[in-house]
Amino acid sequence: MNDTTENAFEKAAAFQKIWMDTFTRMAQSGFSLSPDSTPPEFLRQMRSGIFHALSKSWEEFMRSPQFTESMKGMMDNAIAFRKMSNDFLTGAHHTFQGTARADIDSLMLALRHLETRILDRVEDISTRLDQLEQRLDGAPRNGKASAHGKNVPPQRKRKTAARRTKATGKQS
Amino acid sequence: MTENTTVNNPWFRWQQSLLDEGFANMRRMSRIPFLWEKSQAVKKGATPSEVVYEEDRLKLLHYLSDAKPRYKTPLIFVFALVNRPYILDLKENRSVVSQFVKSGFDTYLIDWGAPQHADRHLTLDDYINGYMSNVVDYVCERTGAPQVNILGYCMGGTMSTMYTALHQRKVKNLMLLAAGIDFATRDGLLNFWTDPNAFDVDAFVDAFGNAPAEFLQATFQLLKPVQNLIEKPINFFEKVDDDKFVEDYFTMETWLNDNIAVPGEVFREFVKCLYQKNLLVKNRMPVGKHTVDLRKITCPILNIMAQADDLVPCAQSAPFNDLVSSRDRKSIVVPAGHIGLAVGSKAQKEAWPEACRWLADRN
Repeated sequence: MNDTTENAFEKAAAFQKIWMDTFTRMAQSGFSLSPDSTPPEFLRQMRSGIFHALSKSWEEFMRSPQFTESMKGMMDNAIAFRKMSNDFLTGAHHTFQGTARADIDSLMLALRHLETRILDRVEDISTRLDQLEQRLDGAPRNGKASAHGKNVPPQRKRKTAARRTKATGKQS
Repeated sequence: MTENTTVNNPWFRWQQSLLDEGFANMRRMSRIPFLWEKSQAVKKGATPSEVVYEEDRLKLLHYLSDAKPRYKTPLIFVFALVNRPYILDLKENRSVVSQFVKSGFDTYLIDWGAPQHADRHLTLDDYINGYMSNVVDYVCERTGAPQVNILGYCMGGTMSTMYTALHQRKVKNLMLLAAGIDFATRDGLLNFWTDPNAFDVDAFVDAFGNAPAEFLQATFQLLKPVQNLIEKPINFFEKVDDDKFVEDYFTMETWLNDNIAVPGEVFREFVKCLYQKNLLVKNRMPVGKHTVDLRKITCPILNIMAQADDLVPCAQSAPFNDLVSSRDRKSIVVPAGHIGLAVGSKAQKEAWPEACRWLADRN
């Protein structure tokens, strides 16, 4: 018996086990009912017992390696399909000399790298300016770590991009 | 046969209960045509607010009160990047925000907005050292207070923890609400499902960009499939003639289905560094070019957890108090689920008034 067949049997066995457990629990919940209960109440109690049994069995199943394995298979397929459709659409756009989403993504990424480099540089300059100010004020100089910006709380200044609005009315 | 024996006769009781159930079903059916209208009449948010700051998609809401704030240090709510923040201000009698506003706190809430495909490259660094830091600076500037109080919910709690560790001097008190800190626990299903052998987050983000709202919604539904997909609709039908129940149900469902995507890079960092490598408790969590060290947190801590939380189990939040250097640490465990922690009646009656008192004592 090869690995694939064995794997399939294991999955089937795990799946059979949850249903067996579920039915056992359901039967137990049915036996625990009082014979004096009226039909709607009886059914409600039985239903609640069944749901309880079902949720317990599913919780156990969803923690099993068989479930995670099938979930992984499903996710891998979804990812492969998405990649395939992305490639196809990019190809189609490029054929007609159009701009695909992948091109915009690359552009955005390039801009982000540029932004990161500029912001890092600005942070560095700001640290140096702080130090210079401190020196000019006659305050004691910070240590080496400060010179490299390590003691400075991290912050990405984005205030130029920010739009501060005054009270724009009530929201509810 | 006397009247008493007739009533005690099981056959009579059976017939009576079947008749009652039949009439109840007719009553329920008659309400169905009006459900659509009710579902559309749901209001989002209960406390009046104004937008005082905007940056990219972020909006900072300031909650309005008739009375002047009693406490000088403002309070900022930091919600998760998943779902919308109005769960914290859902309805008049189920609002965490209104509890703090009524207690005299100058209250703000960060609405991160819905990320679009162009936001897929935003990282935790952008959110924590960018947006959040700018919001705190703005609130300090606006109120004249040197520090702020922060309340972080769920993923927002984890982000607030990182922010506090990096900017301790700006935070006076930190309150966490079902915040994931120690991801080593296997109590929650998400911890199982995000195992590196089961979930390739890199391939996922590379293919999809942002983590799609539908994907997140399906994952959350799958945490309790029997309750969410079978029991809930049945319970709803049984109580469809109860107007109060229907109103609450639609309010809750509107929020639950109002999902938003999570920026791809944030999702990657969250899954990889937290769920898979558990770097936060190891004090090795990278945020941009900085590393989060929880020992740098020295402010008073209030850690609120939900006993029956299937998303962020108590075991994921509880270790936090032992990982920080704060001397003033407190935990509250509420007998509720992840959402019940904010809107549940038990939490509203007991936990939140206690949280307000805790914060008031430290202002």
